[in-house]
Amino acid sequence: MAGDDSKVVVIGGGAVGTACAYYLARAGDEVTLVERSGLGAEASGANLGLLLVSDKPPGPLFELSLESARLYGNLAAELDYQVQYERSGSLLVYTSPDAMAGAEARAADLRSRGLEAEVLGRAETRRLEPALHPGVAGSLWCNLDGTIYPFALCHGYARAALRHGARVLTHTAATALEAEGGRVTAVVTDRGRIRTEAVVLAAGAWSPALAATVGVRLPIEPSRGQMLVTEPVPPMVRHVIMGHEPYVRQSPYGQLLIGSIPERVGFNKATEVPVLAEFAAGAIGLMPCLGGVPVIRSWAGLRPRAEDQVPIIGEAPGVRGLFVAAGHFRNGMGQAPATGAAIAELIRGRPGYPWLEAFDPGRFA
Amino acid sequence: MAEDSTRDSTICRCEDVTASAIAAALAAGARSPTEIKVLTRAGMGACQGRVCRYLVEALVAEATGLPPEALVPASYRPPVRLVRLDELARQHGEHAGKEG
Ligand SMILES: Cc1cc2nc3c(=O)[nH]c(=O)nc-3n(C[C@H](O)[C@H](O)[C@H](O)COP(=O)(O)OP(=O)(O)OC[C@H]3O[C@@H](n4cnc5c(N)ncnc54)[C@H](O)[C@@H]3O)c2cc1C
Repeated sequence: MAGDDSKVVVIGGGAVGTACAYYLARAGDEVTLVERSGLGAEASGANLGLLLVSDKPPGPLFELSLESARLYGNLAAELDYQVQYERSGSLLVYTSPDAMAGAEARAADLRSRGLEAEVLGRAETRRLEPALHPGVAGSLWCNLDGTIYPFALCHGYARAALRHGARVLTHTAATALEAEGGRVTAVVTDRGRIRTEAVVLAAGAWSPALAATVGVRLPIEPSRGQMLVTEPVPPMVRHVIMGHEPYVRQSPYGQLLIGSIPERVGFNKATEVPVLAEFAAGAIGLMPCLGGVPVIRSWAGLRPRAEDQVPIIGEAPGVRGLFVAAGHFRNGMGQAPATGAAIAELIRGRPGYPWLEAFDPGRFA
Repeated sequence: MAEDSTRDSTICRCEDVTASAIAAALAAGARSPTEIKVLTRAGMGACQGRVCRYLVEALVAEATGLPPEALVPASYRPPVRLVRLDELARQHGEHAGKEG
């Protein structure tokens, strides 16, 4: 029942919230996760499932993605759940010889950061991905990028958290936070009030409204992304294809997932034919053989976009015990594991990651 | 026994999901058709649940003790009719043309 006390309450059952709940429970904390609908009901169930490391410039965003890729490597075994992580590698595709000018330098930069990377010519690129347009000039291969089945990630983290003693309350909405003397004291939900010593606010694009109930300003707004899904086709896209929008990914079930661009339209999850038509045209431009493939479905989700496009991870200024884990914009799947691990460290008072400072919520104060 | 044969029966033909897979999801705590859908893929295939949604709803109703009318139906969101990528892409051209 929601009325019981807890040490830590995590608000939000997306990739970020479930990851936080798992790493906290694994470390021995008494955790309650509240989610207003089902797990992965919002952005974490509406995305492409790409886990991109190689597109990040050196710095904290790269470190957050790299540490996540490291955690993903053993995650299925650790959670005892088929999260369907594939380290498929990526091809950054170049459409003209001119565009390839910087490729060798880029490969050297990635290698200097510990990744494997190699510049490939046209023939080798098309041998690896025969569906690509015959005019493609070449590509940059990198080993560390991969994919996940987003729902399986949320459920895998939540189930493993349960095994470590966490409570997971789905269909339970937080309506307000409470604080006393500059410390968080409780989370009010539509099924009762939970007294707690710490809160992890991981409610994605909906985080600012809850933060505001204790006077904390979080500059996060929704950023819509639309997606198209096709009927299953035989295996034809093996790597994460980068350097081209929209992204085209093939799921393990054979369906092609096509999306997506950021759109600033508020809390609006409608899909729009002109945007989907643009995606279809873009996908065919990348892979001309896709023309005849039937579309079966489309949807939209809302990414949590922080004002400076950098995730917000850490204790909120002015309210001790309120930890924010939100604002991951286009990279929440690729960065959820390290975000959860970092939050667990922070709450236990041993911030072990040097890059964590860059995500501090205090930067907006 | 009758029960065993129903457990192995296929509920969603597009994604090849059996009644026992759905029973496992219900046992793991799923309480709505949408949760069944994302856990088992029932209703995610080519027909987008046109065939299996009532069966899934009946199984959820049985497990939760709620009448089927009380369940929030899973989000079945196909395009209005099946459309090929190249047909859809042509609408992009038309749209761009109209905007001139
Ligand atoms: C179309 C699209 C494609 C994308 N592609 C990728 C990709 O390929 N790779 C990648 O890394 N990222 C991608 N993203 C971004 C990624 O989906 C997000 O960054 C990520 O899902 C954010 O996770 P989250 O847990 O912070 O937020 P969410 O998944 O939105 O979770 C927030 C949760 O909080 C719950 N909640 C809200 N308010 C309350 C409340 N008051 N009480 C209780 N619960 C509440 C919501 O129901 C929701 O489940 C994509 C996003 C979209 C939309």
